[in-house]
Amino acid sequence: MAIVTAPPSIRLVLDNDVFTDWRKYRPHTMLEITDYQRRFKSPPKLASVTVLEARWGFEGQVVKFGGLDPQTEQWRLEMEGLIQTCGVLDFDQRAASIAAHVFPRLSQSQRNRHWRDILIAATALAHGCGVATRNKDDFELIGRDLPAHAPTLHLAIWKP
Amino acid sequence: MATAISAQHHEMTASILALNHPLPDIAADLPLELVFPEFDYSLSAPLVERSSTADFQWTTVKAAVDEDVLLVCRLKGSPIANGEKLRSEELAINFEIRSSRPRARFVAATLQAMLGLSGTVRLRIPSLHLDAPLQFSVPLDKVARLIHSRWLSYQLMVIERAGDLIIPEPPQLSREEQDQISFAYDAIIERRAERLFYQGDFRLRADEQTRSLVEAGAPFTHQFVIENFMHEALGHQLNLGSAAGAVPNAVFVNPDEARRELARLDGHEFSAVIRAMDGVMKYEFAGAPRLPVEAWDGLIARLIAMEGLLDERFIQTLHQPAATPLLSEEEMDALTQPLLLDGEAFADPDIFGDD
Repeated sequence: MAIVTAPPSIRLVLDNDVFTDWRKYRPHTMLEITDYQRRFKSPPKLASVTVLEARWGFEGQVVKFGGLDPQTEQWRLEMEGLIQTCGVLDFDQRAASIAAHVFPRLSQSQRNRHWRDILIAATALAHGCGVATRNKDDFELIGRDLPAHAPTLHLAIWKP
Repeated sequence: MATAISAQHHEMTASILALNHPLPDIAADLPLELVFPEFDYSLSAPLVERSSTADFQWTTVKAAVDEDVLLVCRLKGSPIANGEKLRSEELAINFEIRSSRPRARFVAATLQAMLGLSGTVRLRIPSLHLDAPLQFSVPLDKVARLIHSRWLSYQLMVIERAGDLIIPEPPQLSREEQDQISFAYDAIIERRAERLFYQGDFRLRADEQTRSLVEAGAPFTHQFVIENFMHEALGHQLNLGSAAGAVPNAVFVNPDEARRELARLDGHEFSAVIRAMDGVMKYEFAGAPRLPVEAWDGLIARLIAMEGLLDERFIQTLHQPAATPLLSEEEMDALTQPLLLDGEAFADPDIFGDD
């Protein structure tokens, strides 16, 4: 029932903020990715909810403006390339049971604020992974209420 | 365009320069040569089979890259210059793996990953008078899978060699099987390994030292020794020798039960549940099997040495878009806003209303 620092041997799932940093070519994130690839011979995984949020940004533009300009479309393709290369972990039955345990133990505003973090943490725990995030605070609340069958969330803080 | 298809179902396409060359010279059976300038590596493989269709449109050559790995080249061309030369139109490369041993998969995956990450490779088949530069265009996700598959095969090769085992590698490995392999590899090469751990039963001695740990009520490092650490990898038992285990940041789950046992400090053994607050258990394997000094032959040693370059080229390709950003910071910000829900989302007045 706790959040602890991820040891180097733990595989990681990227939090949305880290995936965004990577898509924006933040040097510190690119360095972390490089180090991770060298250790695991594979990039970190993504949670399906991260794919939802990442694609939502583009779909919103399509709805608003009827399409994407060529540069934005190219940037979307870059993102799709990263998604394919990383691979996406399913929000499966185990993840659902972890998230279902956490949700009712948070207040409504906490649920609204952290629903994505809960789904990412649940996905990572269900697949035996930790989470690489920029913001530890986002996961503190979740760590307090983890179920006994997935009691420890490993966090790696990737920030400048 | 050329198509390369491997036995592991990875398709690759490559551009080749239009090339005219004489019709196949049946007499000359010099080895096939594949040159990777960016990896400073060239591979020479003896031809083991050659065949052509009746009209010489398709010629197939097979070259033995390793004992159980064949490189299969299918070349399509049309006769020109009164039938004295062949214009190459299409080239297909395929790796045929004839064994489930990790070595065969390692060799094929390494070469495929190198093909995928090389700007240009040069293929020479002297008996076809073919000397063609090829440019492969392989999706990066396929290269990523090849690099990871190569790594798993390599780890298995290490386990086989150090443990004197023969371990067939299945075409797909589950996450649990991958973890088993990595654990054994770390024990052999790093001499230490760790695994996720929540809590478990441990045998403790009823003595002063244990009592002071219980009474202190603070996290401690629980240390223990396993004389013969047997580890299973893909159904094979591997003796990793004596292991020194440690549960850092450990706490007693039922300290009162432990106290009852410790009322009698006579050195008897009792069982206690210990929880790892860090969620990991660590092992040191001083007695694990080791790789022999000359563990690998020339081919394998050279392909193992490609690891650093493969990582470097992969990362370079992955991060290539950073060199020429397409959008401004503001434009990227507009496309990466968090997906927020309104105030009524997840509302349930009976469960923790608003705070």
